[in-house]
Amino acid sequence: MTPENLQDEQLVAQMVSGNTFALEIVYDRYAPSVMGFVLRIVQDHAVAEDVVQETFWRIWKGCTGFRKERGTFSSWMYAIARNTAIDRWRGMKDNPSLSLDQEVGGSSLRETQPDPDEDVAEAVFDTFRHRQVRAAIQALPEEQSEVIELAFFKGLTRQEIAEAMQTPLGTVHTRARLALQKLRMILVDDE
Amino acid sequence: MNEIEEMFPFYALGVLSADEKAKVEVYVATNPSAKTRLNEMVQTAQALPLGVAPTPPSRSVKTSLIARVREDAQARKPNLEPVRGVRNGLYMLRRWLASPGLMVVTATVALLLGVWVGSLRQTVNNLVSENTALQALVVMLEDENNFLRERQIEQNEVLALLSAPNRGEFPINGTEFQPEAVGTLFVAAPEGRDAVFLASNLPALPLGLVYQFWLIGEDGPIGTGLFQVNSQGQGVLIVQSEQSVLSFEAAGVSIEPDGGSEQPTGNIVLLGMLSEN
Repeated sequence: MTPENLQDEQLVAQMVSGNTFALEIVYDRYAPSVMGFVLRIVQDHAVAEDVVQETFWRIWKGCTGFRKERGTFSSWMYAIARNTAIDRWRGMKDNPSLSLDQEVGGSSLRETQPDPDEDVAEAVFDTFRHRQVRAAIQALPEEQSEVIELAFFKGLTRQEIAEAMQTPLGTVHTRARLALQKLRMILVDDE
Repeated sequence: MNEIEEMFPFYALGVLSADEKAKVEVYVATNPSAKTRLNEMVQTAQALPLGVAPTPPSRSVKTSLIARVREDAQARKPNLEPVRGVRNGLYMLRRWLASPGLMVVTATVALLLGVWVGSLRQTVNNLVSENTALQALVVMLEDENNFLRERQIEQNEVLALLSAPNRGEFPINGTEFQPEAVGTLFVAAPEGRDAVFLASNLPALPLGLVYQFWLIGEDGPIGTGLFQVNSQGQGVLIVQSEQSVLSFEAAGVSIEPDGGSEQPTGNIVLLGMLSEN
């Protein structure tokens, strides 16, 4: 078994013992997905790259705190990425002059090649899963996807969402619940 | 629905305050059905990052990160700065040596210093070995480059086939031998001679065995490719057929000896019909 075939949890164990190559493998495996995700939140390419670096740095420094009983490595990683990105985005909101690049998330500079360490099957299945989730989100009614966008990608509280959408709090609750139920139905059916 | 359960979606989406989160966690700790509902929402929300297209960051991000990480890893290793310690030790050693009554202590200190220098030498030897190993690793990585390039070409081919318009999709389901296995055959338009087969939930095979893909028609099964699965039970095969894949009646996968077989000899683990719906 090559290092690249190690499961995420095995790589975390390697990081705990100070193996920097393990972090490189994790980075190569997840950086494009984390970058796309972070870019969606901060909407600025340079800031997104900064957040990506900070995210993996925090993974390295905090790897002893990862507990697989609490969830998968990827969910832990995305939580770190999201918190870091939302904190940065809130800072940008408070200082609009810092947001010089208004490029919308999703575009690719293509300066790097697709990850060559990922095997073909894994790459294909990853791409498929991305498309599946994207299609599921796009299938949501607009008002439900807006709640998801404001809560998950912007970190707004329930009250802030109600204010932003000029909608009663109860309606926001209902839309959020229906959105997650519908997403689950679509994603579980497609598995 | 009570006030606490109203907060479930926002717990899953990660926007509750610490107090609100605590209330939810206390509530579900004694309410198993509510806990199940909450966990389902959490799992759904965990898939949301995948709803964004991946975007490779620039190379400098990795370069900076790895430099920072290596510096941190190095800083964690034992301190190899003995110089000041050695100087102090020698001075104290001379003073002790000037006092005849402390010759035993002097000899003991000298012995300990000798042991210490020995351990330093060992550390240096270890570093030299590590450097040699790293150089060997660099050579190995360089040798893998061609292989990785070929894999990338294959990956691009597969993705191109999957993105092709008007492709047909045929489920190839697990049989009694592997009921949890799942497969899909994607057939590219218009002639249907190119296809991609994706399989998941297949166990890795022991050495000497391989999965073989078959197109089954009136004249019997024709083997059209071999594949193994990765650590996650996923397999991909580009299927190329001289005649249209759609001219066959069915497709399947069996377990065969390395190199494949002329006809299926092992268990058929996946099977599906190729009639268009």
